Amino acid sequence: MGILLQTLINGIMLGSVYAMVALGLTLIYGILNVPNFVHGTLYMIGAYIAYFAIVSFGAPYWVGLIVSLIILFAIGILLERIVFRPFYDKPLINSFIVAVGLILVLENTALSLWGPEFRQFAAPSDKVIKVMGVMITAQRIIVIVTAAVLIWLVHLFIKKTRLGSAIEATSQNPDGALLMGINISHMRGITFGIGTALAAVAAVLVGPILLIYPAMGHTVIGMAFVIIIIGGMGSFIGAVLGGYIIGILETLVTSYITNFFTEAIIFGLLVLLLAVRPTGLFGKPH
Amino acid sequence: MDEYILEVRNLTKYFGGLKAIDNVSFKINRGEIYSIIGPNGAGKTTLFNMITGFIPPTEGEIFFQGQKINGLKPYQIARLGIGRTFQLTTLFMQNTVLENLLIGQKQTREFPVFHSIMSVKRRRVSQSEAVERAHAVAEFIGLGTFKNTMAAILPHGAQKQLSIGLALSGDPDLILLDEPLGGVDMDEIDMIIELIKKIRDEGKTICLIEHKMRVVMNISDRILALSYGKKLVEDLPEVVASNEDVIASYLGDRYAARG
Amino acid sequence: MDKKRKALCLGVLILIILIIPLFIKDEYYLHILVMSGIWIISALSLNLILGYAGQLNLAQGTFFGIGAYATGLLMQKMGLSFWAALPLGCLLTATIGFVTGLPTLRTRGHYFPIATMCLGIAIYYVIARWDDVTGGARGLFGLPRPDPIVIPFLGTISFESTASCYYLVSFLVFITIVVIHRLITSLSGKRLIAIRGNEDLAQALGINTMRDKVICFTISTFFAGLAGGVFASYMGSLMAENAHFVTSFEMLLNVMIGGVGTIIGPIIGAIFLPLLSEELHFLGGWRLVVYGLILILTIRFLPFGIVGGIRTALAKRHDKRGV
Ligand SMILES: Nc1ncnc2c1ncn2[C@@H]1O[C@H](COP(=O)(O)OP(=O)(O)OP(=O)(O)O)[C@@H](O)[C@H]1O
Ligand SMILES: [Mg+2]
Repeated sequence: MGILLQTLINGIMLGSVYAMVALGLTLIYGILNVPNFVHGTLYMIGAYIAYFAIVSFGAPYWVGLIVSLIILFAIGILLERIVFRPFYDKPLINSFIVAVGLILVLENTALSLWGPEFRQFAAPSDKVIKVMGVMITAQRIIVIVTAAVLIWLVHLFIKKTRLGSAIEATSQNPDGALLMGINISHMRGITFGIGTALAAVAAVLVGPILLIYPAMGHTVIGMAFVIIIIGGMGSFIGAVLGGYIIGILETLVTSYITNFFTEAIIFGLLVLLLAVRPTGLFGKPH
Repeated sequence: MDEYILEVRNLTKYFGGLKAIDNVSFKINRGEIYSIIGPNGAGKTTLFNMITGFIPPTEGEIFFQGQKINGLKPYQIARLGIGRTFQLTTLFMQNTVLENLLIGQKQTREFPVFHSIMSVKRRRVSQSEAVERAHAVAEFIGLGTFKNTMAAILPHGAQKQLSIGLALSGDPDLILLDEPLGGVDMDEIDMIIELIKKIRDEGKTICLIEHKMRVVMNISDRILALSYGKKLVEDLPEVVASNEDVIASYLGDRYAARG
Repeated sequence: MDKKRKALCLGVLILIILIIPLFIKDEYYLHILVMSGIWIISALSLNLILGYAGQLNLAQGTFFGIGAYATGLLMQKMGLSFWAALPLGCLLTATIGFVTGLPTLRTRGHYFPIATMCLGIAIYYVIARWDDVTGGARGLFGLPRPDPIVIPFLGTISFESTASCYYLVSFLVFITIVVIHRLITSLSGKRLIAIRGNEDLAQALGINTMRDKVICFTISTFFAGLAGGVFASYMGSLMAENAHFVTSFEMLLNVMIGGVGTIIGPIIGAIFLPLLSEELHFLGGWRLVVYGLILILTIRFLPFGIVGGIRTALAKRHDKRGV
């Protein structure tokens, strides 16, 4: 029982990370209609920025998190403007390949500047809490709560602000925003920024628990795609629920079935899922 | 041989809660020009998509030359002898007229990959047959002088002609044309009408979706009028033109506006 | 160009390729040429599925890895000769390509690159974690070069020297080019172009697009496996990374920068980039950053790569003279 509870809490924590990354990915997909392969790389950059703020400049953890959030928000807006914008009216394949090029640039910049070694920064609190006979580090609670709060904030933004509802309308119906008189390219930039910032925060939250290294985004981005395909590309609720479900599932598989082939099993299952439903679980038939 | 080339029996299609086609039945005679009319969203294109296998019907059956074809894949239906165009002019835009028509040939769709790599003679023979046929189709549709022009830069009317040529190129018995006159200039319309008649004179059956009423009334042997997925009438042009339901739901504004 | 002149050009080209090792005394440059040959095969394999059938397969590097590991393991663990291991390795790769192509190729648009990316990650993890067989993260070492070929009365050809490997790779490049060229210039090749152009239209014209995509994918993985198998034996060691994105990226770079959808483009890319790589050696890890930038700029300003650029320039000159 104790172990199961422990596993569940770890699962929810991992799920929080996945939910945030997938939420960013799905928002971007909804508005820009591109699967943003760079997302995982930006997640990695977010972790490094916080690392340097905290370790090199001695900033407190929360300051590091905010700095990373702001910088990645700006990077997101810049990338959308400079790199992706020229490709909206070009064949789909071009923006895929541009994303691949961007991964090469960013990841190898990280590798050249900071080396391949693993890094980590300290959690804001090293308290351990005992709940129902299970030891939980405070950082895990912080991850879970902060993620939940941020996801809620994004939800409020979408439901309560004009820009937010335009974003929602556009992802459901591309002509919607035009009708509401919202500047589309403005909206694309903001969405890209928000999505990227979400990934960055996710990375900073797990920074003290997982390790930071240039390739850390690879598996996460893969998982995020698995999640948004299962949850329906562009769907808010699908990404969040899918994130938690996959996080918990992965943790369960890792602790009870196999430690070695977890990823292979999950990605393999997704490929099979796509075979049965070529446009995703909730996707519209083309 | 059956008198009918195509028979649609009690066809129904739901898109979620929307009933796009509602229990529609009709038969198309061999060699006629059969037109389908109806206001926007009546379900005309959906009907074509079901006949050609792109969308599965929710209920009902479709028979082509006496053979049940719903459930077959689009390519299988095409090979049985149904050619079609798409409402939005659909071509291989980056290829020339001749290359487009070459892709549509029977030899092209069936030539085995193995022979493509390993054989010398078979490859050459099929290829020259296909190229010869493609030239013939280009002449037939009146694009003989544009053979080496890229499809993307053709004028709109010529693109429509080419799309009809593509539907023809596999030598089908039944051809479904989805608004072949849509967006075409006045001076190009006659050319396309002549082309449609010429195809009929070759002994092929044509099923036509068209909004331009005067053309439809002139060219069709029989007309099916749809509204909100339901069959209103199916009859000779003059009967359909004087049907009250049709006038109310469709012709009223159209005839006046575009007549 | 008439047939005679074409044949003459081809003859001269083959002659040059045959005598190159006589003039290159620096082993290192010969080594680069061997690597170029391996990259040509793999770039052509990716170009077949991407440039002709229009499907961005992000797992192509993984198939290279499967071919490499299969050939290497068949030699090392089963004691097979290279000449048996290589074809078996290619067949195994193509079989896996066929089996995984069936589900992934059912998807369209955005979903195919995502599906193949996930496929690549899944297979990569199997290779990286299956320690007992693949050596896991440590990699696979001590793979033998091809066994010598004994020709009665004439002697033996050994593959210890770089020059002999150069001839072997050149021969395989030749085979690859011939097969792919024949495929894409045939009526079957027209079907692939149709699928790239518009899959719905292709189906409406009676083309069994699923079948053609699967065949094309299988052939393309076969050649990716071939490149991988030769790589394994030539390099003598493998890392799990060889079966991952890194290799897919390398292929994509060669194809896009040379010119996607042509035969000559990927060849130019696969020769040009390793040479450029040598020139940029001083950059260290930054080299790949530069490559990424080149890739982005190429797509932006030269979407059909070097070959496309040359064609446009020639067409312009032609137009000018015409006026
Ligand atoms: N793939 C689809 N998914 C959901 N709804 C669809 C789909 N295709 C068509 N519809 C709906 O079905 C109805 C009939 O559409 P259809 O395209 O068949 O009309 P149409 O008669 O061809 O109209 P038009 O004259 O505008 O071409 C419309 O309300 C349309 O929105
Ligand atoms: Mg329509």
